[in-house]
Amino acid sequence: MFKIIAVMFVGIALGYLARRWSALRYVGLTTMATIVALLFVMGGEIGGNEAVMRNLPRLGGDAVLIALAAVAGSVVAARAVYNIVKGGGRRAE
Amino acid sequence: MRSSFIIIAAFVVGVAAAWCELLPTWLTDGSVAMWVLYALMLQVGIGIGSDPRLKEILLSLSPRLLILPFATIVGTLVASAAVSLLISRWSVAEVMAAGSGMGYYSLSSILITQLKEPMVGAVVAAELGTVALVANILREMLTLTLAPLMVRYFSPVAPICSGGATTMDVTLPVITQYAGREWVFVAIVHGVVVDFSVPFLVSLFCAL
Repeated sequence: MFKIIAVMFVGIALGYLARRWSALRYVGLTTMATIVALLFVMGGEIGGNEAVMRNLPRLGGDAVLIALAAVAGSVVAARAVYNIVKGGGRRAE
Repeated sequence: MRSSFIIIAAFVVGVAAAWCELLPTWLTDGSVAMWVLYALMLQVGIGIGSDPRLKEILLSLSPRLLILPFATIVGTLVASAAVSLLISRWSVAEVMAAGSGMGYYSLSSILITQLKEPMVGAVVAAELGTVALVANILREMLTLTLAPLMVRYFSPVAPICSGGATTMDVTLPVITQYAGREWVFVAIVHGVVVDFSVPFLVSLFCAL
């Protein structure tokens, strides 16, 4: 987990050093393409996981309900505290 | 909207292809996903490092942001307790134990399976562990695929709260992509705090 963050900090250093290089404009686009690739591979992991796929019909309904509830509860909570935190992550406008 | 669709499509095609055994096993054993994730994090880093607002972003971080992991935990637990009314197989505490995985599916499912075994037997404990596993994988997937919509309808911090413990790694790229780079350090701190809460919350709700 910390390795992943370490890789990001290496990227930050590289990006900072190369910040005047014009090709860096496209990093948003290549990031998007890599996200799509990641989701495809992660989908493949789940589709290929026997235990998960086999138990899905019986236990999947409960799991879907819990996942939807967790996501719904947290986005509503996020909206509720957004006005408190918005100064903290944003640039001063 | 369009990017959510592309991301969901990539995921669904991946699941279907693996289910139909069209993908080679080296692609789906977890190591490729890890390397793609590293490549992603490197690019996210480069994007942040080359961002002219980098200094401003760092200066704007404040202790107020710690309310965000708190919101995630409260929102998740309240909603898990509420949804347990629709689930007859498991008790309120058991549903809350699964919900407190916060997207950290490996740890939460193993913990639940181990902690519940002396109380309900190995089979039922493994079933609850599986429910927690799938529920938390889905939470991560929903965050990855719906992040653009969450930003649009529930504010830029919505995918951070939805991502739970995963906002320091797997869901960090989509957060920076759709909420904006100014949220990256907030997302990491949020992920670390929620991550540390998982073992405590899961143990608590397994004991109840």
